Amino acid sequence: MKKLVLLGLSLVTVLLAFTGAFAQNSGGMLTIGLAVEPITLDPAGGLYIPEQFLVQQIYDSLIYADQELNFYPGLASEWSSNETGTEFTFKLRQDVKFHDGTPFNAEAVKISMDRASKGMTVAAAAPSALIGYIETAVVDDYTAVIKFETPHATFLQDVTRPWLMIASPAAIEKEGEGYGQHPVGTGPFIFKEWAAQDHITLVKNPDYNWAPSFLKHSGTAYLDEIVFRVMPEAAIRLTAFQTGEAQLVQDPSYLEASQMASDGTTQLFKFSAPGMTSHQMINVEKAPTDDLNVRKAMIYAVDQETLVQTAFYGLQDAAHSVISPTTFAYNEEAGNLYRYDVEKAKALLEEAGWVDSNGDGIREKDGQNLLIEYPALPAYEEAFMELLAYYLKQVGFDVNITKLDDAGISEFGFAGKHNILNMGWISRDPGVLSYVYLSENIEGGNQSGYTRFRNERLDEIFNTAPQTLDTDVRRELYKEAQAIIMENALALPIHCYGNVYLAAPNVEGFQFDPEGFPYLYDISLAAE
Amino acid sequence: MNDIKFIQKSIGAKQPSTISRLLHNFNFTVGMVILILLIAMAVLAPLIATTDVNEANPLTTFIKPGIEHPMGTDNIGRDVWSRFVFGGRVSLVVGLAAMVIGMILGSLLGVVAGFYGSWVDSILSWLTEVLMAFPGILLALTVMAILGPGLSNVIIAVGVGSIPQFMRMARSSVMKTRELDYIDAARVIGCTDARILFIHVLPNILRPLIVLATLGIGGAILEGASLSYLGLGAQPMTPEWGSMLSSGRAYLNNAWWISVFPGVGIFLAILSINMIGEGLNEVIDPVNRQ
Amino acid sequence: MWNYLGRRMLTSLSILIGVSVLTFLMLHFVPGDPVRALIGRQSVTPERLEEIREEMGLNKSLPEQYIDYMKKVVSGDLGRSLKNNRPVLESIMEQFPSTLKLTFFSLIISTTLGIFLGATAAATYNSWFDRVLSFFCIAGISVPPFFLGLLLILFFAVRNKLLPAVASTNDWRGMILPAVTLGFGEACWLARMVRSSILDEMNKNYQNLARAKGLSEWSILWNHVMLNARIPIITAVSIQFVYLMAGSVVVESIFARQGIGRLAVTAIQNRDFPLVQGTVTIIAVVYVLSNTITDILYAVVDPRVRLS
Repeated sequence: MKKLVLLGLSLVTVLLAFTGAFAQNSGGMLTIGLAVEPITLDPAGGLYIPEQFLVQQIYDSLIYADQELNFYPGLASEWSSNETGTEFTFKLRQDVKFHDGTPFNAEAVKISMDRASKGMTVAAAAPSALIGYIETAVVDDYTAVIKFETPHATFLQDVTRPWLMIASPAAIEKEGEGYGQHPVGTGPFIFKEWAAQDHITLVKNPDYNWAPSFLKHSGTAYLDEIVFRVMPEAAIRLTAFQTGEAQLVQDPSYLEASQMASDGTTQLFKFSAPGMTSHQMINVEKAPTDDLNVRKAMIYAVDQETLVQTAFYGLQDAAHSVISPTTFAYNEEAGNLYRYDVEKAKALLEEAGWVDSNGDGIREKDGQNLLIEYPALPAYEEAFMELLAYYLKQVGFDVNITKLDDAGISEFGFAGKHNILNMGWISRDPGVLSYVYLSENIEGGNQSGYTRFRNERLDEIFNTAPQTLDTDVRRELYKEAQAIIMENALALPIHCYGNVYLAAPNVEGFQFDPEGFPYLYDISLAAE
Repeated sequence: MNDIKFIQKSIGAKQPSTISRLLHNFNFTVGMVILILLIAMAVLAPLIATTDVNEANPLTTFIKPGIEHPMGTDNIGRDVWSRFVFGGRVSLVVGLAAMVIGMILGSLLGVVAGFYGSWVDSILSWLTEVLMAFPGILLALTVMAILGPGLSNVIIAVGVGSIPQFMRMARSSVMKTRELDYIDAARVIGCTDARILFIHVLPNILRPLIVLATLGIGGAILEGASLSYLGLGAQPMTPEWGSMLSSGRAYLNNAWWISVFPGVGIFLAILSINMIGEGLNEVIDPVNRQ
Repeated sequence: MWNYLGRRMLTSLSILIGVSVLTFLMLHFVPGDPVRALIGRQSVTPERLEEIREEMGLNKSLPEQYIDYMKKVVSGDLGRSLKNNRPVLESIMEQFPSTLKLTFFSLIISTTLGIFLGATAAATYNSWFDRVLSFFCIAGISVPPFFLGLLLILFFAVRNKLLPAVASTNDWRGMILPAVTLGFGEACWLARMVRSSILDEMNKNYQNLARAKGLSEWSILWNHVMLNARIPIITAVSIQFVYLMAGSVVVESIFARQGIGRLAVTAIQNRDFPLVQGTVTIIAVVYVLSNTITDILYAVVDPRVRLS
């Protein structure tokens, strides 16, 4: 018995030891419910949404862009490029210090650009912004020249993105491989701690005095502390918001969010992101989608407006083209080619020889069912995949959904076993289309050319546009690309990516960056 | 696992009164009734389902349980009752198939180990112990990591996870049987090993193995549902209780029925089997026989 | 005793070797190209694919790879996560305390609740209370943790906002729902176990002697029966620790808690194989060690075990 009592006592001690650390909310602390945990906070290693959101609170970019994509001085006070668009000169601010006290200078820019061009994780997004990067020349302490082999038409826009933000060389040196877990920048918030799968804490940078002028105030940030809580499920994020455990949540469950926003007690912020829409890439090599009429019928068969209403409660916009209307060079004509029309879809299928002869609701031709192979990644497609199948079935398709993970999808897609496969990519520039529509990427490259469509003109556009400095010419090129893609019915558009945030009534000063990620610098909490 | 003890006792306790005592046992009868109802539901699924399991309809989402939809409709307008009955079919089949796989592979290994003894036994027993070093759910998860998601892989994963318990029981039963006189007699008249194993040994150890497998179905259903809950099991179009429950969580506040009914289904399936086991235990374990 | 200890240790060591072989082989059981499985849906050139294969030593023979792998494991290097390039061991060490906290907290719940309910049921043997409790316990064992967790979240967090569903590990209130979810089934299991251990003891003759001496039933229960029933109960409690540890794999995922179980599940979902290997190895090692310690403890309290 004694042993049991002792065991019990020691357990009680253990318990007391950790109940002592009981967190209290202070006035200046904001808790944010984060949908996906970042894999790294190294700008040169980041890949997608979670990294982008956090990186831009900790770091600054050389140039900032507001929502209309106008440029503002950031860490660079002046910038210019040579006539061919291959060299970019940045005059740097001289009064900036990193969080660790290291002075900010041209050497730091060079180190960050060099790392970004290589990418610090296998999946990093940074290298794609620095294609053809030669070097960064340090002219003097506060002048840096970034050089490319070929003209880089979108480089100044790319500089404003989180992937090319500037990291502390001293911290990179000190932390080595662990830098992504111990980031040091110049931004309004200082990284404090990261308890994986639980939370990331940032605190106010007391020295911050170099905010871009389009933001609403200058000097230090309002918030003392920000805690990003990792909550992978929408229902849980919403629960946390309702119980007050989080005052700002990313991607809450849409049904409840739309209800809460409609009764006026909650602030809902929504942003329709530029770049590729979430769309199904249609395989032109595998039957039955090798037939243009079948592909067109699929697009006509889907009612995107009702679909987004059902799947996202209207918190995401319906898409009708391969890029979203908020993207540079959006082609309205291409976006108006197809509208929901069941009769037209049926007529096209009949024209192509697909008829339902045995009355089972599925069309056949030469004894083959009209079957669509659809490998799906539930993380992105859960909300609409069954509805998509529902619409296709209405006009006589049979749909076979195979639920796979990332690796499974790329294997399935690379082998060409799919008829449709979901794609999407948030970006400010339509150049992102080349990642999946350039024919080089079918067999080689990133092996993501899942339409397996080869067209010389399309390839030519994707190869020349990024180097075309004349904005109007570039716009026309991308418009033509959209027309080619939609006329050949390569993409079945579903929805535009909407970034949705719920904020408590006392959260003030919320605003989006050009890609739909909030700046937390201006946020303050009103006294309740 | 803690069931093994009483099953072994039960082998020796074959008395004519057992069946009638079982039928008078509360746990056993109630468990049996629930299980039979669930099986009937699964078998008759196509008859009692009111709609196609995958008939989504954007116009009929989130309807509360009522006359037309006894269990309501889900976020894309599918009838939860129809998915529930077919889901029961899937969950029961997963549990049953996994146990059959586990029993066949486990008994085979166990019989070989128990019959041949010496180094064969040592190696196979070691292998079982290694497998047992992984907690059941972790072993199943690891198998899923290797095979990738999918319902048939869930069956394999759960089946593989149950191999050690079958092997242990088969091995110990065979070792007891091996010493019996009639096996020696068979050997003397020149029977081959295979003949002795299959004709003389196997039938004698089959009963406890089948009991173990039956009682294991509850655990297998739970493990299968857990894997689907974690997103590794059933494909989206396939109704399965674990994945139905999991995908309904996003709408918990507004539409509890999407998650709660499948949860009740899993609970009842496991409960019925546990009650049957408890009933057997009460009737056969001498402590309870007063 | 030393002899027994030695034998037990040797067995554990051989099992651990087996565990390492299995986890090592895991990657090679994956259908298709392990490198492709490793990098997922990313833009990677075929040259980079070869580089990764080279870096990971996947072009060597299997025994060579195993030896390389074991050398690293023994020196504490479990590789790096493919997703964030962090050392696997570092991630595991960071997540482990949360799992331990949760396990201990659940152990307290399941032990106190289990012993209390079991003892009460035994004391009121065959009464209506005992029967209701017995049924309640079977029901308790049969509730899937993810269903119980869902119901608890629905009632205590979503509907009534009494407790946080997903509090940070630093907030003790956030521990309550996960710990109850994890510990409830085990409490029921323990209650049954305690009840039957006590009943076993009660049926022995010394109880009748005590009764003849005129002691009250409660005094008999606490002073005599519990004293003798403690060995199976202590064993049951230490076995529980191991079961709770395994249960945390699912429970941590339900409540989005920090912990090694969830680390393993996400690693499996992401097919982040170095991390899968690492977490699976560590959980299995802890499992084997706990079992070994339980056996040794058992041998300490019950000398008969040593001799067998």
